[in-house]
This record gives sequence, C-alpha cells and structure tokens, in this order.
Amino acid sequence: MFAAMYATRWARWSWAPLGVAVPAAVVLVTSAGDAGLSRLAAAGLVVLVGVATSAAVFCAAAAVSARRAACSQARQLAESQAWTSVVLETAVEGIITINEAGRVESFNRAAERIFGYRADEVIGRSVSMLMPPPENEHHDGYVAHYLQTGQSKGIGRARERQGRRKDGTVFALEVAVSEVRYGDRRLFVGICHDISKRKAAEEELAASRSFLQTVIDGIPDLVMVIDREYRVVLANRAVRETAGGQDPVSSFLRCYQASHHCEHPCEGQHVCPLETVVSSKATVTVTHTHYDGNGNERLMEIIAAPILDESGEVVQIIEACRDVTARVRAENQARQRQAELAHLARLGTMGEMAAGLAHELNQPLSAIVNYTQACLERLRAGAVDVAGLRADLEAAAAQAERAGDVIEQVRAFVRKADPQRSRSDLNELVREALGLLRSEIRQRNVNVQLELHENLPGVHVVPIQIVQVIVNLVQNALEAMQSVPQQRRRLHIATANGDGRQVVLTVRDGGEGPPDAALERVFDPFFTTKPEGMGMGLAICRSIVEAHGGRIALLPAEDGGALARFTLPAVRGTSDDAW
Amino acid sequence: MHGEPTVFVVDDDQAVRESLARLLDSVGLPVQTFACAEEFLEAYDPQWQGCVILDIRMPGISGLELQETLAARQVRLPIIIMSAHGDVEKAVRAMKSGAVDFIKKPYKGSVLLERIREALALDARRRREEASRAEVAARLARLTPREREIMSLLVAGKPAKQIAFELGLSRKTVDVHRSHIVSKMQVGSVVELANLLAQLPPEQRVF
Repeated sequence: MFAAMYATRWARWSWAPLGVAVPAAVVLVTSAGDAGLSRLAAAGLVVLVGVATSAAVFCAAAAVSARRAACSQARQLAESQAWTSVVLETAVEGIITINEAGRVESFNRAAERIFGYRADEVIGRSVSMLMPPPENEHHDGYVAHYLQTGQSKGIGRARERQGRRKDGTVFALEVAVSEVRYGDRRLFVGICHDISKRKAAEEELAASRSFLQTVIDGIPDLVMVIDREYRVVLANRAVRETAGGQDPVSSFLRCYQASHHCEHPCEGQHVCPLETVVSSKATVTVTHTHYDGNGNERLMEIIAAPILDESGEVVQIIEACRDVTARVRAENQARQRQAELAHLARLGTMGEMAAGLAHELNQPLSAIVNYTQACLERLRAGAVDVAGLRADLEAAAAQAERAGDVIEQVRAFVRKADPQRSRSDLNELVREALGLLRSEIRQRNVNVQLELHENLPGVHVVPIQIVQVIVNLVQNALEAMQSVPQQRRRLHIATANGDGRQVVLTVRDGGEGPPDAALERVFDPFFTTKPEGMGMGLAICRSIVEAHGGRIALLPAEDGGALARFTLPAVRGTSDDAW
Repeated sequence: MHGEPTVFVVDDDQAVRESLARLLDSVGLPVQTFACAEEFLEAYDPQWQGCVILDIRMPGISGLELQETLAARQVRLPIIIMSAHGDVEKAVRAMKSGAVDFIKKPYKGSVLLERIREALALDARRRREEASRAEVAARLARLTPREREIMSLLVAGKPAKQIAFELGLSRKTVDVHRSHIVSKMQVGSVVELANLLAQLPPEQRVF
C-alpha cells in the first residue's frame, strides 16, 4: 500500500519543477507504545521511506523476520525494537503515530525537523497542536467521528494539508494516514511531506505563467505556442477575441481548429508553419487567409519560430500572426497602378515600333499574296502542275503562321496584363524582346551579339514588364548608334549569374556614349536627351526593375558606347527546379 | 538573257523574294532575285531590260539609296518601290528622284502584276523611242551642214522661195537640197520630217 502510494507520489512529482526529494515524515499512530511497535515490526509491517535508505531498511527488516524463529523471544523483541527504531529515525519523511484519542505516541527525527518540536514536546499531547486553526479545533472530532462511524475523508489517501511549526509558521504539508488494527486497539500512522518548497515553486511558476500571459495578452498580434501535436498550449487575448472568446488552450483546440475551423492540418496554398519550422528549425513567415467574424477574408502574416529542447529538436513553435490585409491591399494597389503606368508606356513603345512591326507583318503577308496569286495565275493558264501548286500553298501557309506569330508577339506586348509574377527565364525574355525589335535592328543595320549565360537562375517577375525594360534599353542603344559608322553599330546583350543571388543583364552599344551630365538624371521622369522624347522610358524602366527588387544603371562603356545594366533577384535553385 | 525583259527583285526577306519569283514565273516573266542592294549593283549590266522591284526597308544600302544610286548612274530601268504604311515621306522622296511606281504593302497580287506589266511596257516603249531617236540621229548625221540649215528652215514652216532668198540661193538649188534631205531622212514629205524630228529631245533639236 505504501509502495503504491509512493509510486503515485513520485509519478506526480516527476513534473514538479524542483526535482529534488522533499523531506518527509511518517507518522506511526499506535495505542500500544514500544511493545506495540515491536509487534508491528514482527507482523511484517514495513514502512518504506523515500530514497536509497529505504531499500536497505527493507532488506534489513526482511532479514529480521527471517531470523526470528532461531532467536529467543527476548532477543527477538530487542532486535525488533532496535530495527524499528532505525527505520523510524533514519526515515526522511516525518512519521507520527497517534492513538484513538488523538494523542501522539511517536514522533521521529524527520518530524522533529519538519515541525521544529522535539519528540518529547509532542508525545502524549494532541496531534492538533501540529495544525493551524481552524483545523486544530476539528481534528479530535474527525478521529472520534471515524471511530464511531468508520467514515473518513483522510484515511488511506495522500492529502494536502496545512501544518504549524513550533514557531507558529504555517506551511503546506502532504499527509498520508493509514490505520493499523492491533487486537482491539487501533492506531494511525501518518507520513508527512513538507511540500512548502514545492508549493512555493508552484506558486512562482504560476506567477511567472501569469506574468507571461499578461505580457502576451498586451500584444495586439495573435500569439500562440503550439506543440508538435498541433495543440495550442499558450494563446494570448487577441487569439481568444478572434475565436469569439473561446480559449483554445482550455478548450484543448488544435491550431487548425482554432485558426481555420478545419479538422486537419493546413496544406496546399496554406503552408503549415509547424511542419515548416520543424523541418527547417528556422523562423519562417507564411501568409494564410483567415475569415473574420463577418466572413470577410483577412490576410494573416504568420511568423513562426522554433522552441528547441536541449538536443536541438523542435518541441514547440511560437507563432505571431498579424493582420496584413490593409498592407497587402495597399501593396496590390500600388502594384496595379505601376502596372497601368507600365502598360501605358508599352503602348507608347509599341507606337515607336509600329513602322518596324508593320514591315515585320507585311513581309509574310506579301509573300502569301504572291504565292496565292501565283497559284491563281497558274490555274487561269490551265496549268496542271499539282506539285508546284501544292508547294506554293504550303509556302503560303507557313507565311501565314509567321504573320500570326508576329501578331501574337504584339498582342502579348500591348496586353493590359494582370501584374502576376511568375518564375521566368531572363534569357527567354531577352529573346522575346529581340523578336519585337528584329525589323528595327535589321533596318538600322546593327550587328547583334548575344552572350546569354546558360543555367541562369530563374527570376520571379511580371514577364511582360521585364520584356518592356529590355525593349526600352535596346531601343535606346539603337538610337544611340543612329549616326555612327556601320562598323561601330554593334549591340552587345549579355546575361550573367551574379553570385547566385541575382541575375544581371547588360546592353552595350557602340554609340557616342552618354553625356556625363545625363548619367545622373537619365532615370528621372521627364529627363530626355532626345528632341522628341517624353523622358518617361527609363523612368518607367527603373520603377519596374525596382518594384522587382532589382537595380538599374547606365554607365559609359569601356569602348566608348553606353552600358545599361540591371539586376533582378534570383529565385532559389536552377532553372530546371520545380520550386 | 540580256535580250529579254526581266523583273529584277531586290528584297532581304527570303520568303518575299521566293514568292515573287514564283508569281512572276506563273505569268511567264523571267525573274532574277537579289538579297541586298549590294548584290544587285555588283551584278548590274547596262544591257539589262525589264524593271526593278525594291523593298524600301532593307539593311545595308536601303531601297531608297539604291534607287538614288541607279538614278545617278543613269540606269533607266523602271523601279517599283514596295513600302509599308508609314513610309510616306520616303515614298515621296523616291518618286521625286525618279521611281516610276510605288506600291504599298500589303497589296493585291493582281495589282502588283499590273504594275509590273506597266513598268515593263514603259521600259519597252522607252527603248523603242530610244532606238528611234538613235535612228533619227544617225540619219541626221548623214546631212551636210547646208542641208541641216535648210532643214531647220523647212521644218520651221518657211516656203522654198523665202529660204532661197534668205540664204542667197536659187530656188532650184533649195529644191535639190530639199529632195536630198527628204531622201536621207527617209520621209515622204516635209510634214513627216517635222513629226520625226519632234521625237527628239529638245537639246537634240538644234541643227
């Protein structure tokens, strides 16, 4: 029975913050005095006490009973008394025995330490002296009631009570009382733990928890601590208010139940912060869509950080969620406006390219007209050269496709596209831009050198806007070479991998080079060196590049021309990754 | 091939060149194509007859520059300039410096063929006129200075009697000169002679 009791107690203590054995006392309550005690021992009642000594005591007590038969009665008695005394006096728990009248019959050394009384000050007096009021007034009544009715709240269980020391201080005490019947006598053994330190630690813990709660309740963002099983173990007031007053901690909610009213962890578009943090062991930021009390979408930015144990494993995560709906909306509006401006600029650019593109479109159209007219003429002349007719029609069809491609290019360029970013290949965007300018370049008799870096990291961009920037830079380069001799009309376009974190595009021309005075202001709105320029081209280029997190610059090239250069942040992985 | 009228196509776009060749072939017109103006100038032979079709937009020497070069070199082949919308200024410049025709892309195939035939006809007519002028000049070269003098007065409408008076000759002498002139110029009358001389450009009408 005691063993079981201890097992329970130690199990409970395992979560206690102190982690040390609390001095304890066992009270042996008897009405039989020393003789009774020895008989108790002889009957094999062994009191096991806490720590290592108890095992030794147990073995010793067992040995005593084994040798009993071979010893004389007197010797047996003496030995039993000695052993019992050892047991009682070396126990780390207070052990007190009282009789049916509630008088103390024994009071071991541990009990002396706990209560501050010497045994002789207590033995023979009512045990209620060890209790604070009002308990002390009722205790005798409890004993009498028990003896009369056999009903007790205290017998057989460990209970938390208050004790009073000799100096009058009151402290927390855990007492387990058991009854021992011996003949017609009944005695009560009480084992006492002084749990005041544990209580103080518990109170301190509760206070610090309360302090923590108060602190996080003051944070306007939603703050939650979530364990590996998705359980919300700590949540602040903002969380409770969002949940309509329900506390996810006391309601044992999982994070996905509390935040998404969902019965499974987040997946897909809503990246689960817990899983991400557990696998990365790093702080992550994700954006989730939540719904407020009116059913409106709220964009929440969730910053989740790991809480690690000693071995570095993530045991919990702490999440701070911020409502970024307004910010994101403002950002979207700004992006939308920028996209509209870029679109207007593209229309302007398209106007400048119109003659070149008309030519680009007219070539295949003229070829189609020629081929089909040739067929008509042959038919009119009664020709039966089927193979010739077929060849001409096939050639005409191919030219029709070519015309379609030109139209598609133009359409894509002037389309008022949603400023949706996608992972793109800068080299591909360069080719697209050059496709639009092919006729212009040919007409101006410019020699194009392409130096496109293979395995360039991808970029996360609005593709058409970057094409627009490249078209603008190339157009400027072409115009800069308008009046230089043929052999200097070289356009050099290169892409490069800037240390893996960014990609770089350069456009170098063989023109006269930018005037020094222009370098500083060339990206300013309405600054232009051209008589018919609006001065918006490069300003819009800069706004596009910077909106994508890149930089743009115009420099004098080494060989005298101008060098336009822009960077864009690279996205992780190589261009083949499906990231 | 110098003997027969040919269409010379100068265009940097392969599809346009090839399709034009097919079109001209379908109506039985000889054609020769060039990818750039330089190629054409290198191959040019003054004996060529026919017409030239040029794209106004080409890398290197543009269609316009080629046409101006040909004009400067007195190349008389009729030139049809092909151009896209938006090249009006260039087209005007081309016409001023002597291009015979201008066709805007995209065009109707039948219209292009018509223009080509017109250009070829023009070339043929020019060549005929040139040949006839050359013939007249050759006949004129056989006249003596006195005969030329009398001829210019005859075609000016003066009667023999007055010519004889002005030149201090006898009426009979003038009549003999007149019969030599009509004979050498291979005409039946002075009226025919006047018509023949009217074909000559003004600068050649000074005798």
